[in-house]
Amino acid sequence: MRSVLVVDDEPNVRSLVRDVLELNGYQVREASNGDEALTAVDAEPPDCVVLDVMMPGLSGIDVLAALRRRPPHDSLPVLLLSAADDDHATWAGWRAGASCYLTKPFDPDMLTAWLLRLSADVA
Amino acid sequence: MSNVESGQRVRATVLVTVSAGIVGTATVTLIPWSYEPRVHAAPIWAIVLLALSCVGELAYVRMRHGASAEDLTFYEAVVVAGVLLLPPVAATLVPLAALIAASGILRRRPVKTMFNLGSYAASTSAMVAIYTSLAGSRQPFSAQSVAAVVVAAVAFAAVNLVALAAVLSATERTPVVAVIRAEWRLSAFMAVGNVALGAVAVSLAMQTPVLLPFSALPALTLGYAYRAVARGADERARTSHLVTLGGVLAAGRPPHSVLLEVANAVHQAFDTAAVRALVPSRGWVATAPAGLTHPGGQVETFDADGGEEVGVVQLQLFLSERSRAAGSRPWRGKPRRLGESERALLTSIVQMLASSVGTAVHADALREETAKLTSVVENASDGIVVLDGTGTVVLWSPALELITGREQQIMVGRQSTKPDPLRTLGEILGATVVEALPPIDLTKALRPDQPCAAVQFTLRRPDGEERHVRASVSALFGADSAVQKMVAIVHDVTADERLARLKGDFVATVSHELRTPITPIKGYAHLLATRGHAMGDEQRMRALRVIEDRADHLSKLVDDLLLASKMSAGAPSGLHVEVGEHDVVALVHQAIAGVPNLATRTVLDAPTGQARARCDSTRLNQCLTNLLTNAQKYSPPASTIRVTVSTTANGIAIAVTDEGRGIPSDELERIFHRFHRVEDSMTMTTDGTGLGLFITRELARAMGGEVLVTSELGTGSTFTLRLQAPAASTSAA
Repeated sequence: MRSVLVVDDEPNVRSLVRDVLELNGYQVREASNGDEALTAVDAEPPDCVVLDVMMPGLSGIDVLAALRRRPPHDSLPVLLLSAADDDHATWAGWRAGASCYLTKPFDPDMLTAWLLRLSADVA
Repeated sequence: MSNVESGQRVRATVLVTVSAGIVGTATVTLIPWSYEPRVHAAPIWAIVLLALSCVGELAYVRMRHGASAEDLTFYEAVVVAGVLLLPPVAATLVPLAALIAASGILRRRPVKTMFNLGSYAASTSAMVAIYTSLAGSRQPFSAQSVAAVVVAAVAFAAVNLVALAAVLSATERTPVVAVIRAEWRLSAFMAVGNVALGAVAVSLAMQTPVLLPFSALPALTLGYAYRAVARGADERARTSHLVTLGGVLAAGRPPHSVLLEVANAVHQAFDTAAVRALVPSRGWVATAPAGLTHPGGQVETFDADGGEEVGVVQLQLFLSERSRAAGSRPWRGKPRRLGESERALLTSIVQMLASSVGTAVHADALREETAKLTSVVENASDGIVVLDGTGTVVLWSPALELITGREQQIMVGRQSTKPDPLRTLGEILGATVVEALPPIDLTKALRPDQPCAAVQFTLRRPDGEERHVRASVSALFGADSAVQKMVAIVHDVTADERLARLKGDFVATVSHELRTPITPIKGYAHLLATRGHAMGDEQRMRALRVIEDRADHLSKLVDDLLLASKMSAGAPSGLHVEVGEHDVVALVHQAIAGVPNLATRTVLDAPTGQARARCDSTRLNQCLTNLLTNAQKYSPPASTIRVTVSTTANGIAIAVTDEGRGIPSDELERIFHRFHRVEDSMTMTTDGTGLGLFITRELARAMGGEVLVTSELGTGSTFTLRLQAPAASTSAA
């Protein structure tokens, strides 16, 4: 797994995730909202998506649900990155079909570890 | 005659009576009567009759008519004797002379003396004229002369009765006809009795003077008859006063009123100088007649126990008095003595009075208690409803009107019968959901062995609004385990629940808002620490700038939270603003430039030059930044944000208009509340703590200004910040 799509409305978070992943040898593309994310996935499916939950317009949960409804992407690994850490929000994420649920602020090592694990699963 | 009160009507009556007397006397005196004496009366008779008339007037039996009194006398018998024995003029003048003497001895008041003289002058002259005209015969006791004497005596009585009726109607406000109807029998009886007495005495004096003392016998009989009549009248009057008194004692009036009315009734019924009713433990005193504050003289006291709250209740009867009410003459009556039966009656009366005052005090306390309870029900912020055993509303408090939107007038009397009492209550309240707390079967929540229950209702008000209420329900069960009465105290928890939800939303929002900047700070710090050596210089610099920028953002966020916590709605007590005069146009330019990515989509419409207003420049910048970032956040990325600065009658208005989605009308006021967000925190797509508008409005108010909003769904919103003009002028320079 080499290509990752990072979706977050917050530019600083996007750049952090990009820096972390690039230092670990990933190719990173960015999207700042849900619509952009779906377009990017359709145009060129990444190996994995790192997806923020609270965004203007389509939320991360909406994007995830939309991906899971599209056959080529229904098994695409999606790592949700959310500021909400309560049971309700976590459960909503898992139920929508998340491969992994990380809360902000996140540990960069944890992020890369999960990406490795997800690529192993896919492989 | 009557104990005449002064007054215009009385004076007029006296005047008419005196005039009639003068006319009558003058007529009798001036007419040249062709008179032949029937008896050879020596002048000594005139003197004897003068003395007897005087004694006859003095030996009276007093008969009361309300506050007035009539004296029943033997005067008339002596007048009859005079008519039989003396020439007409002497027969008229001798009794009048005697009356003047008797009035002098009795020290009657002038007005009463005048009235008596007038009345008797008129009646005596009528009697003399009638007798002299009709008698005819030389024989003193021929059938004709006896008939003449009877007719004359009836005329005498009639004239006196009319005069008495006239004066009583003036003093006692009784119609003349009513007095005549009540008194004519007594007058007729007196006339006949006096004719008999006078005639028998004259006959005895002439025929067998030695038997004359026996004529005292009919006199005594007449006297006893008078006394019986007077006593009968007294008893009737007393009975009437006692009936009044019974009514007063039974009517359940306030204690003061009971005391006063009983004092009045006893004063009237027992013919006292004054009566005082007292409750010494309370310092209550009532005196009759009114206006007599310090009665004196011989006093008889009766007392009884009025119970724990009242103590001793006393009745003091003043039987003679040294002085009557101010302005009247000294009382010349004999001191009164109470008989045994009167004492027994008064002992009962004071006992009844004590019990009545006790009851009245108790009733007062009860009324006060009821008023307190009513005020509790009326003013309680929780709603109160009471249902009877048939499920009918008997009480519906004003607070419950506010909670349920159902009016007391409509609800009291409304009935509902559901299978169990709590569902009955639910239906009455307009509930769509009824749940026992804890959630157990409703039929088991309220039972004879568990007469209290907590219930939660979801109410649907007539206006469609939904309310959540909690009720504490208490029921009174009868012997058959059926509910006899049910009381519910209804607490509206809608606002509490909303506040709890807002707090929950706030915690979620704040945690999101704090975590978002912490994510890059912590992430980059970790990256620099662990992989810094692998990063290029530029990448490291960028990471450090992000850390700095996000730390600044975090700091501002904490400042906002602290600021909001210092502000309590409407009273920004902990808020520090330095209001001065500043150029608003320059500050608006500065604020627009300070918000990233805003200047390019902003259209500014402001006066050229300066527009000065009273504000704190830092706080105004904060307010404008909040409004501008809101406009940016809540409108499509490329849409125009219009900023207008205008002068108004009172100062400066800065309007920020966006082309966003707009705000629902029911949210327009709430968006200024602390922590309020139009969106649900779980699904919201824009960030923010819900503090921006709250802070903006509070700051604006602290500067003497205001923030207003207008909005149209789908078109956009306009937030207007108004500021006061500088003190000296109302328009911009």
